[in-house]
Amino acid sequence: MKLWKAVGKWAEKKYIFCFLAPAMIILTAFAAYITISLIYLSLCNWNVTNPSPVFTGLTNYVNIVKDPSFWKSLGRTFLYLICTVTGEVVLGFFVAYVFDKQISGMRFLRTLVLIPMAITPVVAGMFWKVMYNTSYGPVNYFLSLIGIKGPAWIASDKTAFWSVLIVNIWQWMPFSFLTITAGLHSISRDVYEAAQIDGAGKMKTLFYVTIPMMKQVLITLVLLRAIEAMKAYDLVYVMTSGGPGEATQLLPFYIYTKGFTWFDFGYAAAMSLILLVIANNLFKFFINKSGVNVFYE
Amino acid sequence: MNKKKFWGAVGSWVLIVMVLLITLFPVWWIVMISLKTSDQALTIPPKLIFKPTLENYRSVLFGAAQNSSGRWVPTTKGFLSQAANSLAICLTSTFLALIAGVPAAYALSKFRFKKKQEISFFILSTRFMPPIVVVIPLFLLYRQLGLMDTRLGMIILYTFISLSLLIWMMKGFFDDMPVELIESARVDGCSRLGALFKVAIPVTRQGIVASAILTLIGTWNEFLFAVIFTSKNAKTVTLSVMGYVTIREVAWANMAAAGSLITIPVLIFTIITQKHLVQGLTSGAVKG
Repeated sequence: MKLWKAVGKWAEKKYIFCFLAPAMIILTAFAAYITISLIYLSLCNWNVTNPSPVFTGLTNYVNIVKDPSFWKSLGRTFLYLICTVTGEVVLGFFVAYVFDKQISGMRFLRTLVLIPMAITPVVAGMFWKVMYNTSYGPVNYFLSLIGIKGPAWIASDKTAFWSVLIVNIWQWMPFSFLTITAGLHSISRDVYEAAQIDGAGKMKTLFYVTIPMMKQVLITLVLLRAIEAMKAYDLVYVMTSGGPGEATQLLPFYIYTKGFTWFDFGYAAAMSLILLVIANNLFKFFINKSGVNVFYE
Repeated sequence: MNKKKFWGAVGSWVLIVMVLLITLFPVWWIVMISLKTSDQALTIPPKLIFKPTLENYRSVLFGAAQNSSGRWVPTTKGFLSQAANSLAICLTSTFLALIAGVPAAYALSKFRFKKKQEISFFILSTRFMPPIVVVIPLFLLYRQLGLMDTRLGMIILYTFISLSLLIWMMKGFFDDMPVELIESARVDGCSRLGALFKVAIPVTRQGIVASAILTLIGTWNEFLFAVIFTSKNAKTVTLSVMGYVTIREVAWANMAAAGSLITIPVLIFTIITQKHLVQGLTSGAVKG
């Protein structure tokens, strides 16, 4: 009993430590283990021919720099990031603006728009794959009804990347829509009235009043979606497996292929470390530049 | 109403209908397939009028070797056990993440201390980490420790990936709570720990529920770790969908039924918590 009392007293004094310790221990242990073992593995040759890791220095990195597939996957990942974030936010803004009416029943319609977001991404990917099918998929069927001959979608290396992108935007535009709608509602009606009295038209109000007032919301949204775009994996896995050729091979999927199809763990670890460093610095840079203070005030 | 206004209204309603068609068609289509027999599932043009059947749901839930037309359908007995795995893994890891995450979020929100900015950023940075980066080191560790294809292994992983999001969300909810509530509890003789459990947690309970639901949804839908770290015993429910792809054929109708079953709980929870989701996910930058 005495011991418990002493522990209680100590906890009361060191309360901040006690509150933070469980989470920090879990996160630090994971982060430290992952970083250290990635550094170690990336310096080793460890693949099917070498059953245990052999230290080879920077060989993996040298090979990565010379690997055109790596550079292409990295480039594709950035293109994917830019396009999904732009698409989701711009469309989300557009849809939020269109649905921003004060009519009864609008709440219900807004809820309907959210539905794609709730679908398990793997399920969405599997069925979009069928929808894109050129012989029995409904997408090209509907296009043919209005007289358009649809493209081959995920079956062609020219359109596959954009087809996967469309599915991502379809699924996550609702999140931007939800966030932006909330942002629009937080702007007081007085502001719009004032803009109207000053003679601003609809477009002027949008660009000089609404968007600037939503700056914080939009920056947060872009950051959140960019983080997710860097992780993109599920859709590529179920829809195209990186193909045709390498047309939809994003860096996370390339790492997966190297590690779990070719069992080249050293090479995959080196690419993982590169991706980790890129993601960390990119988002750090973005947060510092954008001046979003919600993350740590 | 003048002419210009009238056409403006018509235009915006046309847009609304178009947006709803594009967002909802794939969902409607999946549900329709789940209610068709496998022969009707993928006909072109899509069959709009048909006699709905619950056969696919029955065979997904309780398993079936042959469908009505006598064609062989992949055995689907795993669904319920996979759903049980997912429930056990997701509920436990969400619970653990709450226990570790809520006090941390509270400390970050309400107290000043040394290195606070560094700690906040570190927690946030674990969210930047693309999951694929985690996979190779943990694959090797799990193989050594015998954690491959176990519920425990998945619980540890999911607790880790949920923690940062949960802390981040909860911090937003604690930020909205007036600090005076805690101060007055302290004046009344409440301990620091007591103030958290008797005041802060009850006041933010809606936020806690929303954060827990979002964590549950995230882990329920998780795919990458499930593919790599489970194979048989701890297989999660997202993988069940892939189970309908065989070399001979893809059982689309069954897959659609399984997909719908997985999605329904997520859909219900998303709609219930939509108001808090925005506020939580944007960490208070936007009020729902």
